[in-house]
Amino acid sequence: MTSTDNPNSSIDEQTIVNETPIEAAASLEPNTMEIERDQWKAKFYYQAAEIENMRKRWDKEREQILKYGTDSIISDILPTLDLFELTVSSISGSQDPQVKNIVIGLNMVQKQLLDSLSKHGLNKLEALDKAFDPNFHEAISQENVANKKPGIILRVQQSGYLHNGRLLRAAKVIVNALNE
Amino acid sequence: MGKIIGIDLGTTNSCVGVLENGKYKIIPNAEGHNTTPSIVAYANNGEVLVGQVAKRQSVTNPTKTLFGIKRLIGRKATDAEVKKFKEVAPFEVIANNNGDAWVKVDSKELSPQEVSAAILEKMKKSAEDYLGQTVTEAVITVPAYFNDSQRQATKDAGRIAGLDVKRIINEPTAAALAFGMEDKKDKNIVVFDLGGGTFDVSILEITADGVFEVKATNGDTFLGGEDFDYRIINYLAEEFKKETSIDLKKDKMALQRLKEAAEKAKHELSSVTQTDVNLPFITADSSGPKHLNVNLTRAKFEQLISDLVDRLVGPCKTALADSGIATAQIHDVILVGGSTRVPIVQSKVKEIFGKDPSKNVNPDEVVAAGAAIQGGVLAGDVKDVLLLDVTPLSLGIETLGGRFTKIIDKNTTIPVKKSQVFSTAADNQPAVTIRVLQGERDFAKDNKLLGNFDLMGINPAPRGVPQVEVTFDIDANGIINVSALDKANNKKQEIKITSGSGLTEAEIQRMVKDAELNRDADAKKRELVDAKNELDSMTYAAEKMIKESEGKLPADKLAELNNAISESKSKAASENLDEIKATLEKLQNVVHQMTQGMYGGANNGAGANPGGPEAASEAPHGEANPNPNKNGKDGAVDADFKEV
Repeated sequence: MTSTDNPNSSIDEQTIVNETPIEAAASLEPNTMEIERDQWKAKFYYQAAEIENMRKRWDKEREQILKYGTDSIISDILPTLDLFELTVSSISGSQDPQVKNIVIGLNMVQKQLLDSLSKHGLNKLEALDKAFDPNFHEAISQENVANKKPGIILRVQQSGYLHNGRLLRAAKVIVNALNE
Repeated sequence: MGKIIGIDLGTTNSCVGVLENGKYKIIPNAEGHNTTPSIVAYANNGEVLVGQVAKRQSVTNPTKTLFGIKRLIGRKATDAEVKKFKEVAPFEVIANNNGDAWVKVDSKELSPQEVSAAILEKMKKSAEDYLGQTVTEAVITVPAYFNDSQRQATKDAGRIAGLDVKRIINEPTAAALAFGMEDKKDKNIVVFDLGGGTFDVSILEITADGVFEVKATNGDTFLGGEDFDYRIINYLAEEFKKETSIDLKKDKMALQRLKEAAEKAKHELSSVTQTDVNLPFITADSSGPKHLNVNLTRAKFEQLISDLVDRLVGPCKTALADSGIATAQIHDVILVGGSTRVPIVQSKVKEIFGKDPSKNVNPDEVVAAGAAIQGGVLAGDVKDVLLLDVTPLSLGIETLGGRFTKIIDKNTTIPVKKSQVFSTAADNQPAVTIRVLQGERDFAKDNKLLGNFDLMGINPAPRGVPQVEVTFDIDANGIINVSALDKANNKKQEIKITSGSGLTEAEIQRMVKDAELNRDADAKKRELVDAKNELDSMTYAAEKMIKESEGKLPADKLAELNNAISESKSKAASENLDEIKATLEKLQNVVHQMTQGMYGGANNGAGANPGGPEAASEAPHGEANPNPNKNGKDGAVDADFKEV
């Protein structure tokens, strides 16, 4: 702070400003310096501790990234797996031996794809006839089927999958209505 | 010191963040997502479900799956907004005995506060799991148009969730904080927030001392990205109907797939100009399965939503008029909400405000980011964070061939200390000159010289053998200490550069840019210099070989080697890269032949390592250059060091 900043500054202010740093330090009360020192010490420790904590969080997060980082790649492959199921279900009723053979082939291809992905932690959910659980299933619609348990999954429209134990895609299902 | 988290409690989605060492961090939930649907469901077994899990069972439980509660909180049941919402909500919206908008689930009457509290509790838990400590304090954001009753109700929701709400801040203010909009001067900024279901535009005035004031706000509470999706769904269904006469909208599963495909197509069209919507086996009729395959261009998509985009204009103009600020007085426009990713929305924003919008913060997370920053400020985290500088340009020394060898990269946070070991370029070299340089170019002469000094008294040794450790130590004030230490005899010399670089910001930018522009030219030069250095090493090694093998080599081989060496020496001054490379190859071949001959076998031999002195000195970039004259003359003898 110089006199040019504040033309009305007193002579006292200017004197303090013109002191050299060493002299200024000597004129401080001893415990003011101690207080300042302690403040810096505390700041240093907080900073160091925060770095440690951040490193711990980063380690945890890196574990997560390694485990689930491939989620998006595998998610993008799921529609291909869906395609096999859709294709097979649309022609599996046929009695034509050629078509039946193709169905067998398609199932083999699908199994191979699933097996490869299962090495990377992908698991298909078995949902049919299970109790509806929103933690794993997404209800598309409800129906009333008298001779089946309420809340039971009647049909699976799209398979659900887990990746390394965590839900990657919920199964899309038709549920038997719960009795109110 | 507990952390104060920042929560964006949105109408459709919520998001939570925290400040870590001065930077915000958006915290993922247990499912691994950064945003959580603002949905609360009461299951038949009494369980309260929140987020994605609640969404998944909504079809089986429509009257007890609550969404959009933000539209009710703090409002009276007679409010226009509440009435409009009641028309579309599948759950029961009632008035409690105070006339407040509440909901009814089974026979229980619930306040929007306690429903929102369930969402806040989930955000709190995510934060606690991430931080590894309990969280009891938060900052929560609300729309700028929220009145006192709505703000208080939001605070109450926090309290029910076990959070002491330190501050309720406006969403546009939070966004501005996240973008780092505070400056040392007065600024007018526009916050354009287009989310999944709502549109808000706010004009903010930020004063030089960091006070944020909302001058005007406007919007449309029933306009958002979901409306864009519906337009695509309708279009796809129409196209399909034209071909097959089947109405896909009547088939629940087909509609579900259409919805997902429409949202995916919308996302893709933000980066490509057309996309294929491919839905095989979408349905079936008597003639067999049917497939949907429609190509959607960005132009067509923009056509489909053009009226929706036009609806963005009115509220913006009204807000400007209400604020009394002209478009020319607007400094910045910032984008919030996922739907601002759509290119035509961005160009509309530019059209309305005459400015390119800022979008370098993730638009889905920006409000939570700002809340996290505010939380950090209130917790005292920010003033405790040491503001650290960086060194704006690389620092290093000059090495063989006029090269610039970096020791500290640009943008390194200081204080920092780094060492590297170098060696000599000539036999019996008694001293090294350390020329301290700053810049990004590959060659010393193109960078700025900060100072130089010599380290003398190096014991006589073959080139590449001495070890000189050069250390750069930059302290917190930016003062650069450079030292050179002879590891054999512990002789040390150092220099302190206090004047800083004396470069202005503009000059720094220019130097970085220069390096970019000259990258190719510098690379060519570098290749030439490296090849010349290699040739020099090879020549030296060959000469050494002759000395060491006195008498062992047959006369004709010796002559061949000497010829090769003199040819290399004569070509050494060439500036032609190909010539140098050819000469080097020739010399290498002769040397290898010699070595094979000497040891009568496959072994390459010790003296003929074409790697040269770099290997010996453990410094891949070569040795400190004693002086431009390579004929073994002493380096500068007098001056100890010189600061420029």
